[in-house]
Amino acid sequence: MHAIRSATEYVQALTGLEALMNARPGRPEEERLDLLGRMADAYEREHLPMEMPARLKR
Amino acid sequence: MSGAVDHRGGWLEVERLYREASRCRRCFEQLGLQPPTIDIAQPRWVGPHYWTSDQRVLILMINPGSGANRLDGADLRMRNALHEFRDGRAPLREILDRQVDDMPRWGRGRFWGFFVGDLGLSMDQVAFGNIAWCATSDNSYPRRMLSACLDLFTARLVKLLQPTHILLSGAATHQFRARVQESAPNAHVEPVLHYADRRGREVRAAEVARIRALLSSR
Repeated sequence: MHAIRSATEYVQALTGLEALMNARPGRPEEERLDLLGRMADAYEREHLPMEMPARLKR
Repeated sequence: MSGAVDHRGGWLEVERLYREASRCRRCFEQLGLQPPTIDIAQPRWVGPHYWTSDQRVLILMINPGSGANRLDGADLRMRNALHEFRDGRAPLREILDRQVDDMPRWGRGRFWGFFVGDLGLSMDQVAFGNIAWCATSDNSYPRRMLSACLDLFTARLVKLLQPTHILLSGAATHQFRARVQESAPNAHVEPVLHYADRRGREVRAAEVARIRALLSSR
């Protein structure tokens, strides 16, 4: 698996995560869930930042 | 990784963080999500002896429920209490005490049955948290909501609580394992089955034994 490079790949990753919502700890699907989660994290941090609410800005 | 921590100030910081979160409307304003009756961030239980326990166990779940299936008006009462907390008219402990009184009814008793009955945890000594702190009206929790709340609030809560063990309850939380570990580099972060997992008694018994062994080995 490689880093998520586009919005399409990001959506595919989300679909992949959704399909793993029955993963059991210690099983191979759990490792895939962890990996996909890390990839989605990286993409979100770079491409999908959310604005901090004005009332919470410090 | 064990030993009680100096908790002076810890409670105040946790209370301040929960109050700050109670003013956040980000996901409702930016992601188009609709709030349910409890339309505000929901603090989660921190036991009164959590800080002084040798083993500080934090259980992280994915999100609070919408309360839509409650017919007893508890969600309305909790919303009002949370608004008072947000406005500084009620202390965090009052919210948490209401919560623990209600817990035996959560998940039709399965929540209490799993954590207290099966795992033998003492509510006085454990803490709970959610990745996302607000419920939504249709129980939809897009990953961006979870991710944003984790960055803005949950990661800070984890740092403040200084857990020795973090149990990630349910697969939806497991995808955030790496980020939770970043917030608590010295904690043992363990993905576990959701308390209401329906894969049968055998699977549940094996999971209970696994978690018990994990908690007793450190």
